[in-house]
Amino acid sequence: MNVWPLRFTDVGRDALLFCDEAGGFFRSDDAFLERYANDILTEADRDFLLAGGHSFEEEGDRHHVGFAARWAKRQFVPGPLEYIILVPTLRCDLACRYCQVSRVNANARGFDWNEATLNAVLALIDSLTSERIKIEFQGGEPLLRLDLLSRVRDFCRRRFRSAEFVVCTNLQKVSEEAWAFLAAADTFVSTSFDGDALTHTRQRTLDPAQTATFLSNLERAMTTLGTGKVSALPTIDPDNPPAPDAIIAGFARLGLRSIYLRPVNYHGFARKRFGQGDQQLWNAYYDRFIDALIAYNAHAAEPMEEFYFTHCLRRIFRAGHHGHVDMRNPNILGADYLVIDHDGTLYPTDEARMMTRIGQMDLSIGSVFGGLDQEKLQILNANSDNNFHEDCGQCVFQPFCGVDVIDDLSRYGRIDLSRHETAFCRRHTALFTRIFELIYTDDAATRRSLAAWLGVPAFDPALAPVHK
Amino acid sequence: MKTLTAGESLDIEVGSGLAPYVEATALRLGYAEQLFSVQTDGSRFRVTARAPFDREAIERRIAHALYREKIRVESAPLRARFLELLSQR
Repeated sequence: MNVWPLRFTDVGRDALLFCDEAGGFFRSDDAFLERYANDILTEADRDFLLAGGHSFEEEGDRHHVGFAARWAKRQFVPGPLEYIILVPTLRCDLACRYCQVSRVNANARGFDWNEATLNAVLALIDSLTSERIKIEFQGGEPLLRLDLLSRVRDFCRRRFRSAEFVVCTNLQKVSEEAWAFLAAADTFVSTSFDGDALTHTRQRTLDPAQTATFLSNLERAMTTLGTGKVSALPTIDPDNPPAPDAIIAGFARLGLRSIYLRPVNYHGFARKRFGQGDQQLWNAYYDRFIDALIAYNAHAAEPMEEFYFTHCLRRIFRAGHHGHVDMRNPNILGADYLVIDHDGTLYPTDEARMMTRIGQMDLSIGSVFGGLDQEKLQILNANSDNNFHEDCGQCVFQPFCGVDVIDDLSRYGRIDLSRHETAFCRRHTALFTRIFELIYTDDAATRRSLAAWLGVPAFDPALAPVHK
Repeated sequence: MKTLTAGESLDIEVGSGLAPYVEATALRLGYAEQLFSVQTDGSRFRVTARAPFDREAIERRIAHALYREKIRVESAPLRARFLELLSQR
């Protein structure tokens, strides 16, 4: 019998978590490790490993093929370009303390698409081979250029079999014309809500009256557009975070069931004011937030989730869960999604756009007028997977984790640091460690939340295999 | 349970079966470990605590690091063959 390489990590006194490269995991102990590492497995060990998909008898047998299929499904293979983030204007009518995108004032000139840029954007979209498209309008505040949004949407509706639009708006000033635009069935709203009015005022509007206007617009969006069409994301200052319960209550009151908790992003103008942030501080807050969610869900009729936690949990149990562009392996840039800035410049991610904008590093990868810079993309993509990295190769969480070259470049100006020194690795090691703690707890409230987050009726203990 | 104080050292002998993996393990621990530094003469480790650290915990970490290296080396042909098969499809 051949055992696929097992990685392992210490998860408590005489307890180890083992995982193969296809994401099959189980919990065992030091005694098993010694038997495995010294090739003195017992009959029971062999039976367990074969039944769990961690070994095979001979090349090409069903265990071997099954492992290969599971491994392959863990790899992200980009499809055709069908997700485009558009920045029709960099102007914004808010001046948030931690603006990540380096916006400009609402009355500034020269920061909107001109006619030539719009036409080049539409020509690029027209050249796509996919039959479906998702357009995310970013800014600045995109509703300041409703005319451009309408022209892009009209074009995409005609051009593609299926088209979906997300407007990322601060919901501060919404005209009746804009409300009508947002009411379309194929159009969704994404906004920022920092959890409670006080925090939202302190961090964004600086004016309670403006916050009241925003909240009124958010409630209108929830009521008239429907809860399924609106998402709201809080940005958290780890040095001064709101109480987790306050955020959960604030979102629940609005009928929002998914919270995507984000620390102040280390990009754009936020970089100057907030620096790199303390990863341990964030991890500790995030842990408290998950605890609060579990406590809330224990008694709530409608469970709530933290989006990214749920996403990573699902990546553990569902190979092929690649729906988040920040968490994929390999994380191939410039393939299935793209960012087009206010001047027609192309970027692999929004973060790359921010870095370029503040003059930190030019991560543009072409323009709508000249096309993609393939040479630059190849350089960026040369290190876009974690399968062969020396450090990731010994990490038990590698099959579930990803790579973020842009984040490494942004924080350190390089990509060759040992992984454990990077914020990305520290954050995700803490996150996956916490998820596995929850998977292996027999606490009823925790299992209720896990089931809700996984979308199953109940958390079956068989999902948390143990071998002694 | 004995705790090493900061700056205190501990010698850990390695059995002959794991000796081929000592150098690579020391190299890896040298950059990955925050809490203690590691030196080796090829057959044993000399571990020096950077902060108070439980002796048993250090021994366990060293043993785990050695086993990781052993598993990595011994399973490399299997892994290479697997990737070769995948690349042919």
